[in-house]
Amino acid sequence: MTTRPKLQLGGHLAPGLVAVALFVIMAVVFVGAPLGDPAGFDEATAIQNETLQSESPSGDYGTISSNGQTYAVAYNASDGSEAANVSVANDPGVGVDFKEVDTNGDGQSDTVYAISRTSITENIGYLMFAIDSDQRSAPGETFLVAFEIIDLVLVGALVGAVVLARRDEGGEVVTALGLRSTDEPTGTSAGQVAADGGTEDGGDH
Amino acid sequence: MAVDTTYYLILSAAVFCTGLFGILTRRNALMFLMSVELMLNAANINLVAFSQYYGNLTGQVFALFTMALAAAEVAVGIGIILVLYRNFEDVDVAEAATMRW
Repeated sequence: MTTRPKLQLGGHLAPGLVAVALFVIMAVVFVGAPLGDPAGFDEATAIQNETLQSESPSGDYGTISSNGQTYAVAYNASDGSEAANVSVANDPGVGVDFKEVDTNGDGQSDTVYAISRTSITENIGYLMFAIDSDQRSAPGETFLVAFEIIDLVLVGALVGAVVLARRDEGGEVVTALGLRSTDEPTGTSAGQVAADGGTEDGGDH
Repeated sequence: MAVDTTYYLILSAAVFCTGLFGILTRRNALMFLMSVELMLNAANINLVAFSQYYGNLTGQVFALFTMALAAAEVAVGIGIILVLYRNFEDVDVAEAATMRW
């Protein structure tokens, strides 16, 4: 008779089952959530000759939803006014291309796609460093202040780690930079770099 | 066409629960660290998915900051695990029951 691995059932499986149960609950909630279509970044559509019901806060290009329809929003570069009837003729010339599409097959174009010329990565760069550019096409907050604060915090953490990396060696403090905080020039471990931070032997055993 | 946001959320939940499973069932400190990273990255997936859902780039930029935070966290975590290994000759989290040794 051959031996084979067997699943060992028992109470020790309960913690793992908690994680599996949590996934099932989350999946059920997410599948049932009324999310709808994502707005996306690179294009927006508008029914031609529809009048926009509200103004988009997003700048030169973006989408708004009104009465269950999603419209493209574009601004006229010449006078800054909103182009209500979005079409190829209303090309604002800033960051957006328009393309007319015939969706119902009657030979007449009835839908306008507004397509951003600026890539998402480029937009992320504009937002992260708060660069005010005409090419920015996607809405978002700027993060320059957060970037600088995190920069300083990480430098502080690095300095703190180097300062704290020290140990006692024969009554003498040895730091990661090889600088001793005692004044005695004993010379036994002068200049030694101790970056491992530990003692020779654990204390509890 | 854009992928529906629900699929991103389910992926995120799967990654998060994989991390939670690792934390609840493993005793190896390195496995703990990897599991915590999985949970953190599940949050990142959510940030990017909702960024696409709303057509707003704030979530994507914030996800970049979260990645920087995760890198710093891993550096500190591995440092702690190294000290743990040196003092207990093991990376079993149940061995280190007190904050001092």
